[in-house]
Amino acid sequence: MSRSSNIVDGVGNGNYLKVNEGGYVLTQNSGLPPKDDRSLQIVYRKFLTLNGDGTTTSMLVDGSTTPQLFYVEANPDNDIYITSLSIVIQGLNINLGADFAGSGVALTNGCRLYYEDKNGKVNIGTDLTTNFELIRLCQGNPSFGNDGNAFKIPNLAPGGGGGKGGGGAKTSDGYIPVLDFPEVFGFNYGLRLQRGTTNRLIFEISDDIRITADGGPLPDDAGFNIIVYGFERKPN
Amino acid sequence: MSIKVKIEDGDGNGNRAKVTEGGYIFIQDSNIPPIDDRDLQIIYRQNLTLNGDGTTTEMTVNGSTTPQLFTIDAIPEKDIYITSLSIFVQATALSLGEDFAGSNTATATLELPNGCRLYYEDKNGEINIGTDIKVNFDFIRLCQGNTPFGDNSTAFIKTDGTPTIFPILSFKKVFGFNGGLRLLRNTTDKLVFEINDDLTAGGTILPANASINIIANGFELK
Repeated sequence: MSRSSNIVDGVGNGNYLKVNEGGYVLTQNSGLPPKDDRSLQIVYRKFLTLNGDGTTTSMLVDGSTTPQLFYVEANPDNDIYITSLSIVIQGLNINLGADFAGSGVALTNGCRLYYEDKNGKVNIGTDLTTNFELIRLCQGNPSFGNDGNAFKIPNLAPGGGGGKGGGGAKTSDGYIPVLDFPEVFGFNYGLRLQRGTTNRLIFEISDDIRITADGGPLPDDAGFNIIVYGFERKPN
Repeated sequence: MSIKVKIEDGDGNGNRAKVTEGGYIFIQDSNIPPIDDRDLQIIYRQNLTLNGDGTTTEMTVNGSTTPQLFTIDAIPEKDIYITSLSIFVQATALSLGEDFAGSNTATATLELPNGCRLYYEDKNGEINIGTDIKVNFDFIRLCQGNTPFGDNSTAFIKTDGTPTIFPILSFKKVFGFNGGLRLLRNTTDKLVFEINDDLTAGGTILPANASINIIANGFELK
């Protein structure tokens, strides 16, 4: 046995909630944020670092024998929502053909971007063997430049909010793709790393992408790092 | 024992709200905003100013001995929601390579020794937004390449007049703060751009025509 009810305005003005012929309750969103003085949201911006050490931001490492993992991990107290990733990859003569950071060839094994949560390891991007694969993963965001300079900044500074971006201190041409989780994957608030878990976001390197000075195949002015943007959400 | 209630249209036409097998209620959102005559939202657009003095907008100052703070502070009666920052860096021969506001050409300074910092303060303490901002490109990256334009050596650089970059930091887009970054009313909340080097125009690092400022855009909520 059920009872039919009307929802009536609480102020007592006699307004009734409407339901249309399709059975839909009609709603209107306020353009304003609700008042809530708890300050539950905190800006989050961190580099992916080697084994999450918080220090090693340059991804120009040798992952050919043992895959090298750069990651951010869940926080004990607050959920982390990752809204976007800012990738910088640079190197002399870098291009969108068969090239990775100015090496002049595609990587043999390729890199992988994935996350871990209670669903297991979930791939975001696999077989990232060239610069273009990073641009494509980010769906060409941000787009600028023309012809051979499309998406490219010449003589890009090696910085990036935390010191040198990669191996060399010199400038070199670079790409700066940005992966937007709400836009690309429909995660409206971003990718969540749940508090008090082992959730992680990981960039895995399975090739030797060290610079020449360190014994690798990449030019000495290569650079490669990723910054994570988003927010921490306090439980209360 | 709970009482089952069917939600029925208030006009008495017999329409009833549907609930799906997943337990979701059907809703349809209006394309128009609700009528609310209270005028609770007020446009907000302010420069960050030196110590929040409301006057000194030019950031080419000497912070090498004592850090110089350009701030926007909370106000007593209304929340401030900062949706975006418009950053302006101008100088002759400005580039995205090893350069901060023309420092490379003027004084052969490739990057700032200490760098700038953008942060805010609320009940969670000091929260960094951008650190080690030492070259022009660090602003571009902080803003995730917004707004993208240009080509090759002039990508992101306005070349008419004195060369300028003017990246936009969108708090909604970059950090997922849908309403923007809030400075809670009647608190000491503040947004701060900290300068830790000698950025005096015509000084030891920058050219004479260098100029830096930041405008915060958003709204006040009564």
